[in-house]
Amino acid sequence: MIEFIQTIVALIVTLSILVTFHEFGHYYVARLCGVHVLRFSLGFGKPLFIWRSRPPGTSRSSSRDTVDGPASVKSTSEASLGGTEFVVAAIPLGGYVKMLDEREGTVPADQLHLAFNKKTVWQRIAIVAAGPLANFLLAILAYWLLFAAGVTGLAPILGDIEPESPAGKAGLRAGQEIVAVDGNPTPTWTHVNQWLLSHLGDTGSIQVTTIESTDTEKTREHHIDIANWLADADMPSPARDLGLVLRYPSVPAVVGGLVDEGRAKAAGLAVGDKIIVANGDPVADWNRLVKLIQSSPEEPIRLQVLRPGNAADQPDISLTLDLIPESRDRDGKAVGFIGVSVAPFPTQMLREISWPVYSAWIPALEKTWQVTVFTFESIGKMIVGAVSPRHLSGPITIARLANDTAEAGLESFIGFIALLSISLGVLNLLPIPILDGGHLLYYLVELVSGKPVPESVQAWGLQIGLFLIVSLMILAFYNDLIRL
Amino acid sequence: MPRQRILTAIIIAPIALAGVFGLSEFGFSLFIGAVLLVSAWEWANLGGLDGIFRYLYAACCGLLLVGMSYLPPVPLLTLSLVWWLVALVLVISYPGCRNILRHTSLVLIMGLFVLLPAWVAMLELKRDIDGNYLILLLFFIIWGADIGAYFIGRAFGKSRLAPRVSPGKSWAGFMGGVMVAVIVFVLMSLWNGYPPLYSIEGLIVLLLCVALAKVSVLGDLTISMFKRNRDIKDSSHLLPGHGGFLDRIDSLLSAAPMLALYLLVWGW
Repeated sequence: MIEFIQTIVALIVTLSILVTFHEFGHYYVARLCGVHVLRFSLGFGKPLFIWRSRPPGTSRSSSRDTVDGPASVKSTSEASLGGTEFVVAAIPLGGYVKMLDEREGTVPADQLHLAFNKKTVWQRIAIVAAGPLANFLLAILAYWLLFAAGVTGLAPILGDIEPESPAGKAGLRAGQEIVAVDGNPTPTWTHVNQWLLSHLGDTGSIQVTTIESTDTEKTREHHIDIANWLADADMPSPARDLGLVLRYPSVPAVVGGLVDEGRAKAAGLAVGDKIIVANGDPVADWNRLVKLIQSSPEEPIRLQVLRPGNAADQPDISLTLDLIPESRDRDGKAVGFIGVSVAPFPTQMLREISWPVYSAWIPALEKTWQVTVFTFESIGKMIVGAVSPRHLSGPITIARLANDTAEAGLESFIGFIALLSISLGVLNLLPIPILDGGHLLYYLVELVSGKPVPESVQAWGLQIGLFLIVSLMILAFYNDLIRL
Repeated sequence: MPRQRILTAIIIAPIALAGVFGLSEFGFSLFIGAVLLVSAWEWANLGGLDGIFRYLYAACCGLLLVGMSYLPPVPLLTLSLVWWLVALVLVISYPGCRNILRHTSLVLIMGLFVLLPAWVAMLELKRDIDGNYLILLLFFIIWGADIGAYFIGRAFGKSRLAPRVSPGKSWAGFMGGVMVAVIVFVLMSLWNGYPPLYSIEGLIVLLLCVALAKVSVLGDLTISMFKRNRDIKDSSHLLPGHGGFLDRIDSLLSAAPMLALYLLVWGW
């Protein structure tokens, strides 16, 4: 229950940050262009809190004289406008900025200069584009913060590659370090995965550049062939599919963490336990233990465990535990699973990258651009059918990710916010009527043809747009339900 | 009761009974599909389409019906349950929600949620070993709730259930309908011997029947709301004296998905 509430809170906080930024973009530029904003609402539906700003036309000096402001009433019509209402509304799944507009109500003649629809096309374009733009700015800001603080990733040095796997066939071998994918530098394993992901649904080859650990000067090119790659995968793991595995230095089989509902915990295993013998065979290192567990789904295993004593007078205890790994499906194969994790990655696998604060905006900009392009490409692939639309996520998946990343720490939560902010920006730029992109499309047509798009066309557009968006939302929600 | 109404009933009832209980699984799916396609044609009118576009909408529904059989039913029926919650909100807020209902596109999408899951649900029910019994139970609950609501509402009905959507319905009738559904459940379980009355399963199925009766009223109210929204009295005149297909199957549309979901998730 607490988990559930926490997830809902994570969703609301995440969406509120994104929506506030988006709507503030519209609001700010609207004010710059001299449009009167009637309402700035965070959420839909019934207002919960309302705060009114001073009516326009109230100069700062006059309001300083009279605190309660009856003296600020200058001309009748301007006063009848009222200020902007800042509202927090009941359904926290979005928000809106309502501007003075002749299409949404009668506007007195002396207020027409404050109406949105009376502004020039360029001004309207600026106001509409400002929302998505604010989302991209938020992402750049978030990445800036992350990069300045420094990000830690796994060094992309390869471990034992199965010779028959796609990676093995392309000539990749243990000990090589991947320095670039398709010419894009990959300082960490995360980068490798990101560039691999952009090939989902493709047919052709992925170019992987490596260096040898012995000779860092000489680079080698490899081409991994793919065909209609992972087009149907729900939650694709590209590296594993290609057979790319990281080199894992030999670490002792010491339990670093336990999953709450896992069988290991139920069997009595504790953090810090060192597993010495399994089914009568000595366990040399963590890899060995993992292999044994994975190959024994629903088969009993007897472990001999050394539990360290916590004080000098309390010696280490030797225990014998029996447990049966749970069977889980991985790519159609049953794999054993007991719910333990290894102690933190050994430091020789880690690689920290950080930039000075004043220049961290450059990689932040780069990253935002890459993710934006990736998002557009993914949408394109879904439309042409190269990638399964099952990748689309709705509110439940977003809520779960928001919660998971928030739990994993501020760093990953900020990364998630950046990612989601870009998605929101991109989604809003799609040329679908009722979205910002749809309005922009109308204004572009207006720019070219010199007159506004006819009302009848806009009415049709509205219906088609509503249909598309609601269908998209339902599809995303349906995908969420399937993943539950 | 007008003669026309009775005559239509005499012709339609045997066809309906034969279609539901006499056919194989495949024939049944075609039969229900056909009824739903006619309903889709009627629904298109509720959305504000006319002429050829109504047939087009029905054709789209037909394609989607075929598509439905390739999708896993549980998420689909869960989604349908979410839709009926949305419908409940709409019915309560009507006519405040007319702003939403005036959009053709939205009403057409809602139509998919009204019609398509019912097909999946009826097929899932039919596929069960106890399929015919389950469908019969569903029908008896719906009819029981309907008839109970009519008589008890007429005798005691004072405060109205949804004056702005369906002025003829009263709270007393609603409660009466639920009570009759409970009686139907008791009689059915005595006749069939399952689920035993004095057991946890019995209690759960009893609660399910109460829920089904309530949801069937929601289906009725929802269709009424969409008709009222467009100032239409009957969804069509295909069944002389009874209105359209949609008017006849409205309660089934909301209740069937719920029963099927229960069946798939918890088993009978």
